[in-house]
Amino acid sequence: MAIPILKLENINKSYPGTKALSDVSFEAYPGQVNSLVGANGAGKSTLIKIVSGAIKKDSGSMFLNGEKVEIAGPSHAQELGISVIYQDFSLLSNLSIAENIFLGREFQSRLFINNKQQRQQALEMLKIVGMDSYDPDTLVSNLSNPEKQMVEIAKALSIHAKVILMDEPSAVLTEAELGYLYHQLELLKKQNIAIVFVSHRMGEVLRVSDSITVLKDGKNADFMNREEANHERVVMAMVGHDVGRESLLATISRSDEPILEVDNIHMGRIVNGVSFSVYGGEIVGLAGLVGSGRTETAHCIFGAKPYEKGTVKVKGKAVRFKYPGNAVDQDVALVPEDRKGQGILAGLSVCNNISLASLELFSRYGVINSRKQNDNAESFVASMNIQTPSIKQTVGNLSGGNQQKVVLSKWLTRESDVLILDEPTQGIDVGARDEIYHILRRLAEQGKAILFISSDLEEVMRMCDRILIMYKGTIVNELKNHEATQGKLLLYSTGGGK
Amino acid sequence: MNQENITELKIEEAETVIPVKRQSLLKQIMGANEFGVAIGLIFLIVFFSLTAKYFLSWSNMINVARQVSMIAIMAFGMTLVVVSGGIDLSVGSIMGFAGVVTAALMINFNLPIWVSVSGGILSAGLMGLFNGAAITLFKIPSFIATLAMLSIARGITYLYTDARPIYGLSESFNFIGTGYLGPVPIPVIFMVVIFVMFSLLMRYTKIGRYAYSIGGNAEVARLSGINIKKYMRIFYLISGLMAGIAGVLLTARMGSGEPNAGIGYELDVIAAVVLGGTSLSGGTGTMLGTFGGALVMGVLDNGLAMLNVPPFVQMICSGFVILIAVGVSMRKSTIIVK
Repeated sequence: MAIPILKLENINKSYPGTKALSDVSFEAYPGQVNSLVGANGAGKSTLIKIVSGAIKKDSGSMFLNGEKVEIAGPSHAQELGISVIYQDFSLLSNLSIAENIFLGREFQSRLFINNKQQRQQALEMLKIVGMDSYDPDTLVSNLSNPEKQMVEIAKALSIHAKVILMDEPSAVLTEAELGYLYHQLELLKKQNIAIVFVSHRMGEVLRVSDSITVLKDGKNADFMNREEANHERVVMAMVGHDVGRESLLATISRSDEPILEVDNIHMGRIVNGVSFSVYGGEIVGLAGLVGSGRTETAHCIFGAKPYEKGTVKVKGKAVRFKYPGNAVDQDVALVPEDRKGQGILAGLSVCNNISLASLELFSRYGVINSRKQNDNAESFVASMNIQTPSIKQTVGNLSGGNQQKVVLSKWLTRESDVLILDEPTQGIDVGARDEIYHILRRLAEQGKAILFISSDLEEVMRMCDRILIMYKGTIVNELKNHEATQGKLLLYSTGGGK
Repeated sequence: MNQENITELKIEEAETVIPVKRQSLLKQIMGANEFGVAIGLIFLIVFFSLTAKYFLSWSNMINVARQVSMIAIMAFGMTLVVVSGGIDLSVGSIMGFAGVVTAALMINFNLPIWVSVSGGILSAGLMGLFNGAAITLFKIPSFIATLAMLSIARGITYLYTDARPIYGLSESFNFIGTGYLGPVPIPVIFMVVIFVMFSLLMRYTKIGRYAYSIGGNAEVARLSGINIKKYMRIFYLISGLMAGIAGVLLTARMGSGEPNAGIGYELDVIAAVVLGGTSLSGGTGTMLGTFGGALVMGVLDNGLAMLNVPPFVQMICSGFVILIAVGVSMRKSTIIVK
């Protein structure tokens, strides 16, 4: 086998209170997809940050092309040919494609930036990633997620990257958009670039990887080549026990009357007449591409976005929420899509995050009863298995899966009858996902109505009793669980099958 | 919360448990937001007590406390606003406005002291509420809305008084600003009581919790069902009320309703808040830190004056102290984060 272009040996890294990495080793070969998987908090992000120069290792050695290197910082890593593509992108949306590709390395002639030359160079890069038809002057804000990803790749190529780290590149893509990603990976392999691929979606990891390194609790747990890898072995290594893949459908009959009824909602050009209802005791999936209007529909129901037309009924009563607070008062909860931007307050404690939406339950005349509030938080930390040193810990220090459990706890504290979840398992490892699935099913069995928005067809088919498929702002089809297949869901969500 | 439901949700224990390591007391103290300002304050006190003869005397300490009391009271209100992610540039003008309203109610309208004082403070609260309304209803950035109010409130004050002070305030009113309760000046008592109230407000009430939440991330707060507009109006109302109280105290101390009172105070107030470790980007900050920040400003002014440093040089020193203190605390916070 060829020599590894990137080699890490016995890397150690500690944070106050935790040992993030202990004696971790990793190798990446050119022209291969070298996957790095592990549960949230297993140390993947830490390892990537060390390689990219964002943080420094405590001990251990790193070799690039057989030579020992000490990375001084992010720009040094770039000079060495190491490039990172983060899941939430590091592009500046107010700048053009060309400006983004050459940010910090502008073509300068005397005082001014040579825009013409820059544009031409950008065009060259875009050609390589198959974006020939794009104008380099297009603002990045006008691009879709897969397009942004391609621009990131073009940017990496423009600095002659030899190693490209991709941190959950698929998290922002829908199932249908994954094709672009696979295509890009093939392209990079042909350029003899070593790809370090991080993802939580087992299906795609198994599909694209040439080798898989599994981390668990900051240690190497397993390594397998493509031929040796299978779903069970990876999951075993990640969580230490097998995680069920059995379906989690309703075992009780749903309520007679719907709890949430949505009739003909219109909002701008994004939501065009959406109607559906959710009964108590069932989990209804809402599938569709990103941009099909799923999130916006949820926000309309919740009062987070104003809509022009249509009615929403909760428990038979017509409601129109002016702002989310009204919805909360009427027992409707929304777990939003963007955990960092909409779900958690990273600087506040676990306890204060959990009680945020229901302070009136814990206060009288505006004065908070700390004990009641703490008791509630403690009980959720225990029942949801939130891994945190204490309820006083700031949420920003928890892993993604635990943060998501905090957001769930925030809404479960209210015991809302209608629970809308928007991509609740995004960026969460298989173990924590499985826990969340079971929690949701138990809530449904208690009679709650659950609307489950997700791009992960596997989980939609495992979880949802009925699946609504949205395309261009309307619901184009509804499938019972037993009727659904990945193929059908993909077909309908891309506008086919009519 | 129904306990039964929660236990039903119980899921088998995972094997991995994050090791709990208690931070040492020293680290906790060093990590606190107030650490920088505490060090600065101690340094200044030691320095001046060694160089200025009477600096550490009881009467001088009382003097410093009285000097900072008005800035501190306004800084407590400002901290609430800044923690919530906003800023209030109008406090100096509202302070002057409230003082003149109070004096005018007593002199021009012959109203009793307590009615006039309440009127002055409430009118300042109205100005604050106006700020909050402009910010929430018309989505004007707080910097701009309160900058406008800085001009509007001062303008009204000048217009009404024709820029002339209102004289003839009674001795019993002036007592609020000049009198003592035992050995302690009345403004200092106001400062301490308000400090305690605000400390409790930030920790144990919805108003305080929501200020941290809105300042931390307004969208998260909104999607959590918090009526953020209502609470933002409350924050500015409270800031206005504090400017009103400070205005009444200053008027009583000077013995006249001065239309020029409070010009430029907003900058001292903001400096005190920032020195105290509150981030201007919102979400963090404590009243204790602000209190310390106000004391640093007061001790510095007082100490330099006792050393006979010329006033213009004092201004230069104050500027550098702000730079150094905030610089040190920024450095500290990045170290802690790493």
